[in-house]
Amino acid sequence: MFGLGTFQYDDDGFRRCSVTGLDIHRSAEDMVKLFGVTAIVALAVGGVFAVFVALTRWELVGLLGPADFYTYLSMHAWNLLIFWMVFMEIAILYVGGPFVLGRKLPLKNVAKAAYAVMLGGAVLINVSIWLTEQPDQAPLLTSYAPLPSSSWFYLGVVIFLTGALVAAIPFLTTIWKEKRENPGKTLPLVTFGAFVTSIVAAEAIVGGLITYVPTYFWRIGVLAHIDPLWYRQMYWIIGHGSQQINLLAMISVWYFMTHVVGGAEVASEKVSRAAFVLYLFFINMGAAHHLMSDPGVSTAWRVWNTSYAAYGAVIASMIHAFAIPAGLEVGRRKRGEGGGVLGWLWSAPWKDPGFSSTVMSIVLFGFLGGTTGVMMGQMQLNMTWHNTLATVGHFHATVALGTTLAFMGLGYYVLRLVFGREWILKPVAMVQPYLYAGAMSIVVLMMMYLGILYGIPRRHPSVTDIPGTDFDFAAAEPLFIVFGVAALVAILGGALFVVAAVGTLVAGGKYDGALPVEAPTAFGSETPVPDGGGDGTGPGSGDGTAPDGRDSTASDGGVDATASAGQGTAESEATDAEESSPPWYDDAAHHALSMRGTFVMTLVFLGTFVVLWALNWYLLSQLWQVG
Amino acid sequence: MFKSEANRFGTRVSGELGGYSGMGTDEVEPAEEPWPQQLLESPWLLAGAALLFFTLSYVVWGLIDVLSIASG
Amino acid sequence: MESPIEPPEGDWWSEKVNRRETIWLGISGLWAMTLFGWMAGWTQFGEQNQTGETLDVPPERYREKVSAYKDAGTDSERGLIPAGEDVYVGAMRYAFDGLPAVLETGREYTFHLGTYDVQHGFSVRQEETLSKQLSLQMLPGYEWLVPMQFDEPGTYHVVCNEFCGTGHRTMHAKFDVVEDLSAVESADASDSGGGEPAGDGSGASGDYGGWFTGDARGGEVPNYDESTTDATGSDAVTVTVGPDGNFTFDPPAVRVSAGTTVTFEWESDTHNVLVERQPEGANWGGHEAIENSGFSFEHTFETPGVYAYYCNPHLSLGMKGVVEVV
Repeated sequence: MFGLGTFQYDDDGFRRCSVTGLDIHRSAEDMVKLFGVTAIVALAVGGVFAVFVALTRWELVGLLGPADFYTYLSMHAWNLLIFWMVFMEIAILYVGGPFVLGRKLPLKNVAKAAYAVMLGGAVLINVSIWLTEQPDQAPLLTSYAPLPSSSWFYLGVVIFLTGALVAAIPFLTTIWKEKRENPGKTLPLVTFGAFVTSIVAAEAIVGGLITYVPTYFWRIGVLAHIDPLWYRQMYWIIGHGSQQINLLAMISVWYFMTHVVGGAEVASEKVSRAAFVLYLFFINMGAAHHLMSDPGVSTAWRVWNTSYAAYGAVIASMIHAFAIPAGLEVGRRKRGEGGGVLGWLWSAPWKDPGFSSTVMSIVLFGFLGGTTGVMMGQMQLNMTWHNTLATVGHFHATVALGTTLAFMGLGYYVLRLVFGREWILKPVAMVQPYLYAGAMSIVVLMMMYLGILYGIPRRHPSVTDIPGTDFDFAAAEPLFIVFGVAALVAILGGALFVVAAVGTLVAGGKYDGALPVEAPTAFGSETPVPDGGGDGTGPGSGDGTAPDGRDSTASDGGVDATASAGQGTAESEATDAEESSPPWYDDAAHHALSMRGTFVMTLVFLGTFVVLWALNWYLLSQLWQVG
Repeated sequence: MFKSEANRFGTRVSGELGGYSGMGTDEVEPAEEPWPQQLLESPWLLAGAALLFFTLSYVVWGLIDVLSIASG
Repeated sequence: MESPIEPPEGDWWSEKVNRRETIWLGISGLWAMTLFGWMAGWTQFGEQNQTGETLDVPPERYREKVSAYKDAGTDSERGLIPAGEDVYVGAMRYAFDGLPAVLETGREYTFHLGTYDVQHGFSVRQEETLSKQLSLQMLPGYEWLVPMQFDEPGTYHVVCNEFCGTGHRTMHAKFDVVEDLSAVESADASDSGGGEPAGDGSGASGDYGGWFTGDARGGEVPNYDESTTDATGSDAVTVTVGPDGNFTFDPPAVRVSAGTTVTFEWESDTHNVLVERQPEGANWGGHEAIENSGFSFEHTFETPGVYAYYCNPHLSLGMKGVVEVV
């Protein structure tokens, strides 16, 4: 693994990335490689099991019987929802911390030990699930007490979680040292996002340990009784919290990738950071979503916690939903990459799998994942979603579309910028994100439709034939066919990523640091940015320019001053004739750069959200009276 | 030498472009920063407060609910 | 300053925010308030709220409550008619005790939801309109009281949507909602347990009309080896119910002399004994209530013939047996 990279380090162990300008130390980079590749292995394993699960729920094929189905489902869930995610997230912490700050990774032996513990836990969990036999049951993801699973399983979870917690320590130490050495300095936004990710993760993991340690002792007979209500409340701190780690990591990756590949800038440090703080405080309250249709917990507790404190965390999501495209829009407008309302987006490097993955992750997470999460988290709506296939649709939208696409995009760039290898099979790499995103979107939509409008339950191997009764869900068969076919295509799309990634690792040529389609606003970029923009929009392109600091696009159509300054050429002569001293140099005008394209898109998003939400409530209102 | 400990700040693009970064390359004294900024620059304080809030709002309140269920 | 991977300098807090971003912040705040206000408000003005009292009730005790509820109700062909407004449902691996039931439109019932063993799901949908569905969680040790009122008559199907073991997919029950309960009450009320007295045409020993196969009601019996245990001449015969936690009777087929007392002993939880068919004139009622390990009951079999019986929650898994009296 450490030999699979192509970069050389100086005597201190540092190298400078010619694309991002970051100073990267070998200690951090080795760990990023290790955790990142392990994550991709977990993706592959989980993906294999996805085939079996999909071909079982598509009952025309009906591959597995009930006992096997639950075992395979559990393998699929743990490898994808937990191992693919958490290993990658530790790598992201080490990027967001040491890489971005240009520091060594402290306590690198602790990081290595943590890796070993995590790996051991993951293997133990996999083996204990695979060897499940009566009276133990497959744990699925949730291992709800008092349904027993293998005692080795609970032990494996405790070990894995402990390892993950320890793996965060070198990252937190990095932040500690940075703040101590530079007390007046602000952390870069991506680092701040990574920090919030690590605290949310620590919170989730501690909740998981509080759940699984007593449950392990119950399983081996030391503890007499595990209360199922307490278990559910505690379990979901790690159950949903682990997915909130995904959310935070994914958003940090979005900021990072839109910048590196798309030239995005930060629209407003204040607003984006405030949004991260809202997440820090409120996001893990979402664990309550799983207790909406439960006895025991009070209505007030449910309403307050499920709403992330009156939707404080939803405000945060909506802030990022604006800020990230806005950053892309501003960054691209400043460099003449297009005008009009959406020219900056059409001109973006859609052939770059890092870019396309990232943007599709943002859009699909928002429209399919985020909206459905909020809806089914509303206490009363939850009754129509709880434990149906629609729930599965939601978390495939958030995790399999949102986070997985983001991590795939990041993965493509880890291959280039960390391993220093150029992608093999470039046409495949270009198409893969679209194939995966398109097919998985269909899968997600089918699952949601089946769950909400047919009431198809989740965690069932066969619903079109229920023994002992004439009643069944056979009416849903046509949709299951669409689901099955789309699922297979989506899995193929995922497999292509693994093939491209592994192939690049072992056979990719050296990456020379030039991005063929896009140059970020970084030191040393060589690709000149076209002046004026092909969409040719100087000021006055119909957006009501005004010199008074309101939304004006006076800077559209200029040249990338960064590149020109860095190269010290006469390219600046080619700038828009009206701009002898481009106003975006003056940062006070930064806020004046137009974000109207983003504004239009977010309004469309909100409109969609409102309509779906209203439809859901209408559907609920047609239900019989409850309560 | 500077690389091994400190940030590579100072070799960045923004440093080279003079007025590129708004307020100039001179750092503002922390005391002059508005208090919300100072708060956002105190990660450990924020983390501690957030952990406390979550513990009370989700864990403790929920436990109180569960423990006060009447027998039937 | 603009880069997310560089530290912003100076006072970035005071930087003006883009006007559209500010508008979006306002819109987000309004949307958050709408979401919160609507959800909170629905608890007051909405008709669908899963808010109800929870009681701490050990599973054993809950089983007794359900049993008492069933005794107090009236059996009908379509299911149990509750004595009052309470409807008890006890979920177990793998059945819903207390169902099927028959309810009346326009009447506010209080559903009592709990389980005897592990977590289960109470997932209900209207047969005619599958999109009218809800799911609630059922936990062992807790009894959740959820009021419900049905205005549309029809059949409502219940499945379990919380994984509870290998028989999870076989869990199904239903309840009918009718407009006129009195019409159902006055209809033929048969013994609960579904025993239909029939002639002894159930085939010779070793076959019993295919009772042990999957062709008959329920699944194939896993521990039947085509032979009948011969206990004729014994004074006391024991059939183990759920030995080692298996979903079987041991021995599955036993031959006894007329006048023998057979004792059924439970070795694991949540089983019952329902009579599928018995010789004409015989009056064996089985044992309909769900019982746990340690329970036993006995019956003295007088009338010769074949008595076919089964355990209701595990019928689909093949928990069936025969007592042949000679």
